[in-house]
Amino acid sequence: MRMSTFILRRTFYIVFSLFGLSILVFVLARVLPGDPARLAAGNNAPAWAVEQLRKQLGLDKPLYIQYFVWLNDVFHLNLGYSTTTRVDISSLVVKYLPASIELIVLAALFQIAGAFILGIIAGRYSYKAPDNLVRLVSYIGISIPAFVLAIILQLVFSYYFKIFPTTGELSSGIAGPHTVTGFVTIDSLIAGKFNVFGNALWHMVLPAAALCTGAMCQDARIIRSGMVENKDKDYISMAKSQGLPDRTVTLKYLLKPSMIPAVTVMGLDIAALMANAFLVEDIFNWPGFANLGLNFMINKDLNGIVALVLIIGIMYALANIIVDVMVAYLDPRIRLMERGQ
Amino acid sequence: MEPFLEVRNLFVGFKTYLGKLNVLNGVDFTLRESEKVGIIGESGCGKTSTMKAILGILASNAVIEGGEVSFRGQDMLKIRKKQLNQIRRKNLTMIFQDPTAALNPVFKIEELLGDVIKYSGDFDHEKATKKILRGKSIAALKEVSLPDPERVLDSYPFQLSGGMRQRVCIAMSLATAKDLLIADEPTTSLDVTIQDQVLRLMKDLVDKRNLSIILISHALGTVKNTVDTVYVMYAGNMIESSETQKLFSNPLHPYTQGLLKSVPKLSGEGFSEGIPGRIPDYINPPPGCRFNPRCQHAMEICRKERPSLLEVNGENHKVACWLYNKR
Amino acid sequence: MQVMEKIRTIAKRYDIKRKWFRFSRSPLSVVGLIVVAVVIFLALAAPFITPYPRQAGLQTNLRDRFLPPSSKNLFGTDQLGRDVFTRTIFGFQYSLMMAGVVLLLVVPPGVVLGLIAGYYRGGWVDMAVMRISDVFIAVPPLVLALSIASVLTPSAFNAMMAVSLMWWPWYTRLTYNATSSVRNEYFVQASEVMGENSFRIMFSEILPNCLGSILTKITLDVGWVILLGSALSFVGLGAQPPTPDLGTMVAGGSIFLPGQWWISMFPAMAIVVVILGFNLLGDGIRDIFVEETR
Repeated sequence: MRMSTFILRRTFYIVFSLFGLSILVFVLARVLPGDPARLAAGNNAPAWAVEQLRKQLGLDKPLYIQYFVWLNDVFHLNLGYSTTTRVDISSLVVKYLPASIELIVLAALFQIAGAFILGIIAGRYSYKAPDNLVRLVSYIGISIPAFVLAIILQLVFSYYFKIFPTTGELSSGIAGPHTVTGFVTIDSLIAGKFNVFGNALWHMVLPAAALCTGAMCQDARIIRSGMVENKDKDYISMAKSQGLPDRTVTLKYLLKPSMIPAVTVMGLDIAALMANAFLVEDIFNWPGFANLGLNFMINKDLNGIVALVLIIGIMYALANIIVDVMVAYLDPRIRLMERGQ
Repeated sequence: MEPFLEVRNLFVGFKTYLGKLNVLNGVDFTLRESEKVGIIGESGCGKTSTMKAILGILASNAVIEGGEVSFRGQDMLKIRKKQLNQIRRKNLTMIFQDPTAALNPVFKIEELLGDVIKYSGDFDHEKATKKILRGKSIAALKEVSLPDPERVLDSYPFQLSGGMRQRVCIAMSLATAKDLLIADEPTTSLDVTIQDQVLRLMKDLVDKRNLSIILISHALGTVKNTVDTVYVMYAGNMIESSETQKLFSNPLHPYTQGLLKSVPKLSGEGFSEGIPGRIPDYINPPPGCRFNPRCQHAMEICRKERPSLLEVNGENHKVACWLYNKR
Repeated sequence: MQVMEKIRTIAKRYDIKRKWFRFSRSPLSVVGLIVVAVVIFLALAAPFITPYPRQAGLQTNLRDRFLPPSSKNLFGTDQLGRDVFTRTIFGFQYSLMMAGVVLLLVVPPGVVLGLIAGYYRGGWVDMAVMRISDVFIAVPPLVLALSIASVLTPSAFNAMMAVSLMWWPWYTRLTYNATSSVRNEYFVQASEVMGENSFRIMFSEILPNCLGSILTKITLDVGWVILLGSALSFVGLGAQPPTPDLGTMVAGGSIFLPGQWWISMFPAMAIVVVILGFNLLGDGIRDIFVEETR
């Protein structure tokens, strides 16, 4: 089937899931914590204030009506009203999401580059010294939770070896660029302020490293095992027997079939990045969306929590679609054999 | 004609988690220029491993424990990678048993064939543009009688039929074989109706270009009609070799005799006999001649010492058996 | 001895000797097994082998606050003077207990659902179960766990419930895939033709073939659940002080970094060691079953 049909099918499928997700979270957020109106008003508010707030927030209507009202709002890009910060959630999203995306993109780049480099080295020299070293490091990398790694990185590279800054997006004393897109990196490039750009990147290194290490090691292992598995296959023996240069055999003919399972997992790993962001942003005081979300959660800002889950669901879905497309591009059998096999 | 490929006393083992498989047990094998040789033997006797050892493409758990493989005087086991690749590009080639496994599934034929032609060609491959390579690829596909070469080039291996895939492999081998073509059971995995076609194609090409060929098969009929000399292999050793006709009319080694008797006769007389016993366990192979546990004529010395492949009666008929070797 | 005989028969039936042989080939897997065994032992024996067991609970020792590691306090003392070593060992106990509860709640229903959905593939059961599980998979696990936990009152119990609620779909998926691939094998069809009861087929024919992947996943999941749990505790949505939960301890000690590093670092190391052990062990178990299918 053609690529466009493929994408369309996937999208439909995912949208369906997102609907289900929104219902689930919405219900949970309304049902579980007891009285949302009371929560919003605070423990000290008098009963009449709570009732007034209940009417105001539409919490007196039946659950399904509340859901449809909310759904309608979402389609008009109105994510609701944050009960804790008393600000429109959509504006909060616009303000804080870019910083998180910058971080995740950098982390994803590190992750992909690192996974390939480590995986190829380990695969090429399998069962010899470089492989053993990579495998050992990978095991440890996978086993360290992101928040532990974040603390350790901060301790080692910020406190002891003062190479990287400790917290924040920009060093104090450096003014952020004029807001065009909301992305500090892009805006500073547009404004031509390369020192600001550099400073911003410098601040991103540690948090991005903490975010991506676990996933990077996971992917490296998959690439490695793919290469080891395919190394003795006939098509590689044939390529070698034809006298093709070593570099071509390893980096072209061995790598491509071996990296397909890894690319599949990379989609899930983008999820890992978004999830780990919650704790890592908190530790590095990064003004991002996850940090915002964490505050919503701790303060039981129900609208905020629901909006948060929805947005992350959408981002994750997009990432998965991209990954699916890439896998289909890499492995023609999936693309061309999907029906009737 | 001097031997241009000689395998002398080759020992190869494979490390597995159950232990070391001592497969090749001192293989002796000679090939002259333009000679057509067949190797027959049961599955697992080491035919493919010997060929892979020659080309240097043994699996990563293989250990070469001794012996020599000399091609035109160069020891293939010891030469540098660069020279080995040169030989692989220009002189030797191998056609694998299963063409589906031999073609990388995630690349188009254009890519696979193009690269082979690019690196094996006589032209400066820095200047090889896509267009030139495509032209040469189409020519190669035409030579193996593939209809609609353009479509084949744009396809992935799984989109072609078994016969077509094998023809593609043959086309690839034409670019890399100036001297020797090794065909490892080239028709076994194909439909019976296609087998004959492919075999004939190979024969034509070999004749046209005056190549030497080593044809491996466990189908005796195929071998009989195609080659001049036959080697019989058992459990990691060449145990008999002779001109084709002579081998089939006068087999000397007990194993060869048993093998030929095992073939059911088309005329339907009686039952064909098998050979009692099984191929040896390579982890703990029997000492001496590896066939001795199954051999009716086994003598004391057979259990102690391995016989060498020696000429008998001076007729270019060699056997590795104590029944014939003077001791 | 009767017991020995019984053990021998079971070992023969499940080919334990060969499995162990394969397992022990990989030194890292054996290391994993040892680490896990040690952790389990420590967790079980915590009240008996730690020097200050009561400090794992409410007891404090304000006189000896912030003491660095010494022979008296192997990992030092924390901000309330409690022995960090003792609390870390009890932390193991707590983590394993949480993982155990979660998996016990999640695995049986998840696997059964997956079996049924896979067996009646294409039917409405399949659609219903898989669509519902897709909803839970639409969002990264940690995010969902955090969200669910955040709408509940923070407590250890609620954290366990939150994780359980969103974890079952992974087992359903795994079992569903394994069941689907085995479902049309000849031996299953043979049983059906002979008129075997569907449920019997599912449990005695199909399930054993999925066992390998399920066991592997359970082992690796202990690590993941502990990771998730400690993340929840770290942000305060899980176990509350003074419960000696490893994540809570890391969070509690993080404000004293880098000066009194031991309060945070030792529990953090403990988390890594536990997860590492189960990861190594899980990989070893996977290797046993992978080779079997070849």
